[in-house]
Amino acid sequence: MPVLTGLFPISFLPTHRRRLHLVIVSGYFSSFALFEILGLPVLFFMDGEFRYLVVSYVLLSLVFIVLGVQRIRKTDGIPGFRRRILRTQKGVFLEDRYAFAAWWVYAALLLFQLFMAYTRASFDGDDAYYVVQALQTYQWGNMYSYVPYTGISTVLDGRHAMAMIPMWAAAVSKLSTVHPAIVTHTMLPLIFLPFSHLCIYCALDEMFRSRQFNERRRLLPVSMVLICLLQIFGNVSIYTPETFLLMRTWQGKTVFANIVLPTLFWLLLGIAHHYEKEREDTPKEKKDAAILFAGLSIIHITAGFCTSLAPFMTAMLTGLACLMTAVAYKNPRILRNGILCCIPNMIYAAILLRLMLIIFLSSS
Amino acid sequence: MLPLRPGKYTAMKEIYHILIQYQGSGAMLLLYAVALAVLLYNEKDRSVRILFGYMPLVIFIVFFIPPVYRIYSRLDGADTYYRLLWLIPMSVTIVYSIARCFAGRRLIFLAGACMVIILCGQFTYSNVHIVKAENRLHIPQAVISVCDTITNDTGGERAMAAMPSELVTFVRQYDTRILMPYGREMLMPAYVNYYNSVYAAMEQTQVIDLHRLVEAAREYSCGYIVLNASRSISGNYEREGLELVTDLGAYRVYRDSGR
Repeated sequence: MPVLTGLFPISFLPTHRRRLHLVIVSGYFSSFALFEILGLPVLFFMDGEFRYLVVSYVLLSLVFIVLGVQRIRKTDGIPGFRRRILRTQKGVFLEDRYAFAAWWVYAALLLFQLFMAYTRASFDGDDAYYVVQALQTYQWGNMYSYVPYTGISTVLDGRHAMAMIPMWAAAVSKLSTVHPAIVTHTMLPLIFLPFSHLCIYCALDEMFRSRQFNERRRLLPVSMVLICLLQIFGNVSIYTPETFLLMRTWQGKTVFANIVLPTLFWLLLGIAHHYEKEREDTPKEKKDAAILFAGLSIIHITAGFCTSLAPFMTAMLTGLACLMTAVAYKNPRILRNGILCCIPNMIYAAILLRLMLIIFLSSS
Repeated sequence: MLPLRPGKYTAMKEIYHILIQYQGSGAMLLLYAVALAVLLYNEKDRSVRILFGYMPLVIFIVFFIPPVYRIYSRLDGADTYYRLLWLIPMSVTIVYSIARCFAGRRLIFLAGACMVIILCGQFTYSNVHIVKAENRLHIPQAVISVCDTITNDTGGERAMAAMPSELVTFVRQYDTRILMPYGREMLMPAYVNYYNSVYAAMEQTQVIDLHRLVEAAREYSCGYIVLNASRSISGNYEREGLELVTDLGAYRVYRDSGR
């Protein structure tokens, strides 16, 4: 379902820029953002009744899928999927034996990661919070009503509750009728690991944009091999994003560090590349910029879906990147648009600070 | 140079300590520093230079500013301050710089780069916290047996059970119908001064005093007490009103019929 949701945002791209991997990335991000936007009102105004969230999430996702399919069909579809992937790429692969070999090495390393994720259990104390929140919601139908460690009723822990990812795991469990511990520990790593690679691939692809095609098609698979190695040998401490990715793949912090941040860098670089050259103020240019900045807003909402402090971090990163790019390219519009994209972060921060203030006042 | 004020000095020391803890041996940080230098020296793409060259330097400086550390600590606690370093795209920069150097060179150079990564890093799957999964839930089988014993005995109703500390992290990941008088919070450093009478009777003593444990468990309305079979226990089960439900080998599940 999240992948198909991506058809709607992709339909706004010009036909020649629609790609399958963009459908996947935009689909998951849109789906996460949608869940966050629906989840917060249910949590605060509907006593955290989980079924309302699941029903509205499924219905709205279906609406987005239908709208996406309709728009894609009306606007020439995703052109040449068969041609591009099955013929051209095959030709490209076989032409360059280094690229071909590197993709196979990458595939082997990814399979190794997936195999280890499925057959090895990594015990992390934080699961006593995240997985239990998902399971409580799955079993009792209320969000954040009990202390996860003990099961005793409690008031809403707003600081943690605003990040909806454990509820998303509960929703996946509900829809698939699979125990949340299996969903989080076994199923999600099989999705999030390749998805994280895909986001990093997008960022690297944008970085190599100025390279020639022949060079790029070799550099990308080689880079992905190196990324895999850095992850597999990235356990220099328990704090690195690589350790989080392989040991607690299902947690919001991991999704933030290994999925949201690479995607954010990809879009920020895309924006910088967009404004690199002097551009005329045509509707097409405006539309291209609007799509990039809209993507940025979706990423910011997804950051809030992952962990409560993430929107502050993404806002800081966006602000800094837009400021530096605006100064470098002498274009204040980059900064203005960047700040506008942080409006979701500001709303999120206002709600969060209010909740923290209530907790602070009630405890003092 | 002016001496640093004590508060500022302490914060700087703490930040430095966080960085050291984050990067372990420091080899990977060194690799990143080299990659960053290569990128700043070589890179022709101005946007890449700004976002992957200059911006990480700014973030690194921000990371070392004591007021930033203090504000962050107030918001989320100092123990997660290392997450600010996540904003520096280390892996992508290392890979990009290596791949750029690789362009047009022999394959042996790439193999050398792979060796450097392997030597600088640490194999994640050799981590002590990673073990062979016993089931698809990735929860120890012993925990599942304990939980199933209790829920079968209650007929699926909720029950409060006192558990040994090594089980508390997992029990409610499997079944939230089981409530506990204390949970994982008692194992966290932040709760080191927190007192829980059941935890004290179960864990903060060499020999478990059954009378003390049962008294404490009853304060929390515990219907079940799970004991680690390897622990020394003093007292009489029958006199305290405990009935053995199942002996699972490593753990024994008792029902408190004297409540």
